[in-house]
Amino acid sequence: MNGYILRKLLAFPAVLLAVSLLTFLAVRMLPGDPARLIAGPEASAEAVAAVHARLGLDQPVGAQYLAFLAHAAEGDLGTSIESRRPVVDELASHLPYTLALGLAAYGLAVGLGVPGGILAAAAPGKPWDRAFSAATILALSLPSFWVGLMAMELFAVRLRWLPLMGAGSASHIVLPALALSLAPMGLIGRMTRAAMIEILRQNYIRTARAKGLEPFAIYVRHALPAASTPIVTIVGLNLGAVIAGTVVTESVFSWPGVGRLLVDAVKYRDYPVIQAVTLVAVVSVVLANLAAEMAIAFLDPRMRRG
Amino acid sequence: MGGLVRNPSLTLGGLLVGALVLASLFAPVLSAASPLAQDLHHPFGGLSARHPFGTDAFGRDIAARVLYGARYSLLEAGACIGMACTAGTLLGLAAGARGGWFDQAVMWAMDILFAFPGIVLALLALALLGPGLVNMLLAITLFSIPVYARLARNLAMSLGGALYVEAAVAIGASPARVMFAHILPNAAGPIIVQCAASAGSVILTAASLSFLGLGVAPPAPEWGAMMSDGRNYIGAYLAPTLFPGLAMTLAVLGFNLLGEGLRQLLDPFGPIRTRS
Repeated sequence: MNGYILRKLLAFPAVLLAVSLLTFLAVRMLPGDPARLIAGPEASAEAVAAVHARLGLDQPVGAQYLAFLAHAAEGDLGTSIESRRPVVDELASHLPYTLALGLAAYGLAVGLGVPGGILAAAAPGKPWDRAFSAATILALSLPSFWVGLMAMELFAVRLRWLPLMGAGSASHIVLPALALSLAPMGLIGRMTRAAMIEILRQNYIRTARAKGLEPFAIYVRHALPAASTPIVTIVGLNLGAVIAGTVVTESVFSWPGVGRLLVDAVKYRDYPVIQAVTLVAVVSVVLANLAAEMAIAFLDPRMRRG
Repeated sequence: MGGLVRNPSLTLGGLLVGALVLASLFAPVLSAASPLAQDLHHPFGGLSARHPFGTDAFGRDIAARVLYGARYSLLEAGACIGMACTAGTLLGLAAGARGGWFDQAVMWAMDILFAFPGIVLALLALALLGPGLVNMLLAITLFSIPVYARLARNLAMSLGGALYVEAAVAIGASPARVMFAHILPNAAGPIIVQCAASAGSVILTAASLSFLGLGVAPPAPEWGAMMSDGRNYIGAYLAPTLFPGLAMTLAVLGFNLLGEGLRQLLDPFGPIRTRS
């Protein structure tokens, strides 16, 4: 464990605290009284005041935040205003769907983007590279929800190969995963290609060429190991793109995941749910970046000594 | 014509963005039909000379709506990037120039904002502000700021050591003069590239938010809102969803190609910076 990684690990709780404080303050600033929402439009002033006291909303904001942290540490994130279920239960029932969809889409994006980018960089300007660059810039330009709707029309309605929406069987995941994988695939493909081209421009590669080494050997033994660091960074950094994408994709395909939970919560101003889902999203991004940095520290000999 | 072959991204991107600008400017000239006029007797009309893209559920001319929709896309890209680039660049330049605790504090705040996946931060901001066009523009601006702040800060740091900056300081130029007369003009290239490159993702995010019903409200001919309406007829009528999506793909592709072409032109060896 070197100093750099240790600092990052120590910074993690601080980032977590800052993010939780930010989301907490943000939802506290929501217009409208959450107690009024919970008690219902016909409730008396006493009933609203009772809800206030029960939720601790009559306390100062600082005390409320500390209470929120104390409850969160015990695994209690409050109760959904809309469904009246504990937020933790809501997360537990939606999260597996998002994980499955995100993993399928990310697997597809990494599986196509990384090898594609590596191959494209081998011969810049050649037909494969041109085709790959065109495909990735198109993938970045297509609105995922439109691709989703067009895929529904073609594969579900016209061809009847796949189910239209929902999440009943394994085949339900195919269309949303395809739609969701496009943007991260484009990003990962382009970044991998750029990183690889950058490496092939280095002096030690030129030396290897000058001493007459086979191009294939140069590529596999000299360039690829050096590329592992930027590629791991790229894969770790783009998880945010997948999480962002689930919000829209899940709504298009009625996929019962966290993204749709968030959109509904924003529409109903279901503040405990907004707070919890935002926290989960941010924590996953921060954790993915941390994991990528630790992997790099392991892969890159220069980082090991730190 | 040599430039066309040497930099096809710039040429094609410029043409597509140019078409978007022309469509926004001359929408009333290009289409005789109104984007809002309903004709409830002729919903879901097929493609004809009078309605080249057919009509939607309310009998409105889809072609006119797609044309007028270009205005929203340009507005979204222009307003959000204008605000985010100004705020982010000023913050980043100040942080890079002053250094010390101010730099640490600004970069830490940017790291926190950066940890939010873009649309999640926008959703949080929209929950706070309520849905609508202006609030959506503010929400997208908020999450676009960190890219510019980081970029400008790194540029200020690296240009701060340049000889001409040292020379300007030596002859007694004020910090503000050094910043705006010496560093900013030299940092402008990469910042402009970033503006073009993030325009596409701003348009996509704005349309996504409108599609979710949190951005531009339905009767307005915004592409995301049009598709949000059109999705209800998927399987029966394709045109209300197909055409706005195609137009949007071309607009976003135009900005992405323009960004790529400008990068090749101004900063050929620079890294690709993106924000999801």
